[in-house]
Amino acid sequence: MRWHETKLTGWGRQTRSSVLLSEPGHVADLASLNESGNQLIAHALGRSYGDAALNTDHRAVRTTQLDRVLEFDRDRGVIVCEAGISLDDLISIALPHGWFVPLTPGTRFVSIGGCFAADVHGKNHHVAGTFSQHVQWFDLLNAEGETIRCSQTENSDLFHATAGGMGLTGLVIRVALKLKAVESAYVSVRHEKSYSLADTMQLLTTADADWESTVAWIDGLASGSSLGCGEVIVGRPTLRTELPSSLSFDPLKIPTSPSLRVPFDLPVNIVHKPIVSAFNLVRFRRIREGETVESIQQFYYPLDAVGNWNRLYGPRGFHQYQFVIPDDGAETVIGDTLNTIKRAGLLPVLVVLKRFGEGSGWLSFPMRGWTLAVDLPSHSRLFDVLDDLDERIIAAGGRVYLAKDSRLSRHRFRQMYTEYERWVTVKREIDPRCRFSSDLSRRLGIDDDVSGGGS
Amino acid sequence: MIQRWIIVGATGGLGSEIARELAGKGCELCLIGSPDSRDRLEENARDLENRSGHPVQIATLSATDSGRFASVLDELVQSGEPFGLIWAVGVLWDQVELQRDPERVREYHQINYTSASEFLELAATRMESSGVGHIVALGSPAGDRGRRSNYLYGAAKAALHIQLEGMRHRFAGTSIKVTTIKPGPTRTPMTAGLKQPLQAEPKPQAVRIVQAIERGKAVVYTPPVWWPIMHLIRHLPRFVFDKLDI
Repeated sequence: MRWHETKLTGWGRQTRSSVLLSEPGHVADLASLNESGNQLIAHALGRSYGDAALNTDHRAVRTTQLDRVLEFDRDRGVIVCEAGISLDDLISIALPHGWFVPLTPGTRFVSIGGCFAADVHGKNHHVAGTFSQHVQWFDLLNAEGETIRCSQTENSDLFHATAGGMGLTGLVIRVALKLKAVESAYVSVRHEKSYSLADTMQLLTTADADWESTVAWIDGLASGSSLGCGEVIVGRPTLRTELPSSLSFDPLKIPTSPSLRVPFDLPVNIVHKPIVSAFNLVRFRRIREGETVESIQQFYYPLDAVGNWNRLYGPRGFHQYQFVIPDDGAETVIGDTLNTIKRAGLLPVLVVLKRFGEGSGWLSFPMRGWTLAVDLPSHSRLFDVLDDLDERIIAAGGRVYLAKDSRLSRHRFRQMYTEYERWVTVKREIDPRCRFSSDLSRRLGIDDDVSGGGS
Repeated sequence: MIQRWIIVGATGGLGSEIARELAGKGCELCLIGSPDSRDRLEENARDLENRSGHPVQIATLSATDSGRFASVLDELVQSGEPFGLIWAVGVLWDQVELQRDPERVREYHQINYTSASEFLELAATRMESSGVGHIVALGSPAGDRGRRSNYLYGAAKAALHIQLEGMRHRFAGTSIKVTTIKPGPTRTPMTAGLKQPLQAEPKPQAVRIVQAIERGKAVVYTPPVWWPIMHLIRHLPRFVFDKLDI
């Protein structure tokens, strides 16, 4: 394999990390991977916000060219792909045949290998669970260069350790994914204003029973009695018969949407309070309550309409803090969090709230309860404030999302992920010398646990 | 646009992306790659079939085995059947090493130019018999002016450019089109690890290339910014050009 030096960043762009990068064009190129020394991690489209796909002064394998479709059963809706394929690509292949991804994060520019490694969730978590629950099997290239087929029944420990395992059990090279049947490229959506946190949470809880996708956008700058106000957005796939006649001619065609992109790295952060505050005000005012039909891009991927939007935060980047806490006392913790962020002088740019269904275990992030995600521009006090918040999340029995993280401490990580011991047992077995390792695994002390043999 | 396309160099960084783009438009494809890339060709063909639902043919051919060119071409196209050809073969070797070892220059030119020259002529003759066809080849802005960093590569691409220009002249007024694509630096295995300015991603490059093919363009720089850049470089007076480290 050929390696060259380059710099990578996470989506939050807080640090630039020097790595030796290889960009294999075929799975066969990976044959010599285990001759290339220790400590490598997969990196595809770089949508992990923090350091999960970074490996400073070590190696990274860019998997974006491993993106072939190996089988596509158009009748049963099962697609077998190499793991570097993006959801964008997958959707454009499958949707014309009436199939959509079973769930999707907020961007379609992610690889399915990454979706599996972070065990991502979508707005339909309360119905569909996490990504790994739709993976029939995957092939894992382990530290010895062997390919191991894993499913819920075959090598199931390895299956569960790799789902949400942040790429640390090996390189996922092939994935068989069960798709979801849809009748159109559209979503029937209902928008509703909410006027307080309790109101938002009530509307979301009620909507979960009837709607497949539910999420709330929250005005992070609102305070007092309107703290937690915002917009509750719920949706379900539009049936062919429900489409307006202008769209029913070609219901599975993805409409072309205008797209902008931020063409270069802005020299300074332009996301400031007056801008966010004006944006939130206008956004809240312009909410048109009621039901409408939106394209999958509008509904699932509003941020994808602006390419490289992360560049707006300037050279110091931003952090997304996402946590989940159980139902009991959630309203108080979420309210406290929003207040703490504001009081500390941080700027909550984009705040999203959602209710999760049951979790799927091990290092997977979701658990039954509430998840809040907050985009925060870099700030000197940022990590101190988040450390405090971590304590409250732990006290409430919750955890933060590793795919978005770059600063959680070893100690707190173990308090949050209670099944970590079980996971690390599998890690020790499959990769005792930590051939697969990343900035995240070293920060969280995972490598020390594995090579030390105890924890 | 022509429906049936032969892509030579179909496992390459740009060749494989162009194949995907054409498959997405419902074209029938024949992929040609080097004999040692047979497994890769098969993988790519299967991927294209799964994406488009159409069968994809493959054949292997070494750029230095010109004796087989005619027979391979005849296997892939029946006489009189309209087809298009995309030549996407190319290697970029280290200029300084080639200067030290001029014996390798012959093979270098064989891969980058003479094989194309022969193959395109064979294809052109067959297109003449059906009266329809489209010849597309990947040249390079490097062929616009000789520079110390890669003039041997540039020389091959310049020769290719002139041949295509001549073919365009030959077929002017007929239904046979000739398109020269000059891709700027693109992030492919060929350029992995090179420090190049303005490296483009292969997928948008392929989208622009297929668009140019559909429109039957003559010479296309992609991304388009390379046209003004090369126009400027071509016209720099020598006393300025000689001082540039490019």
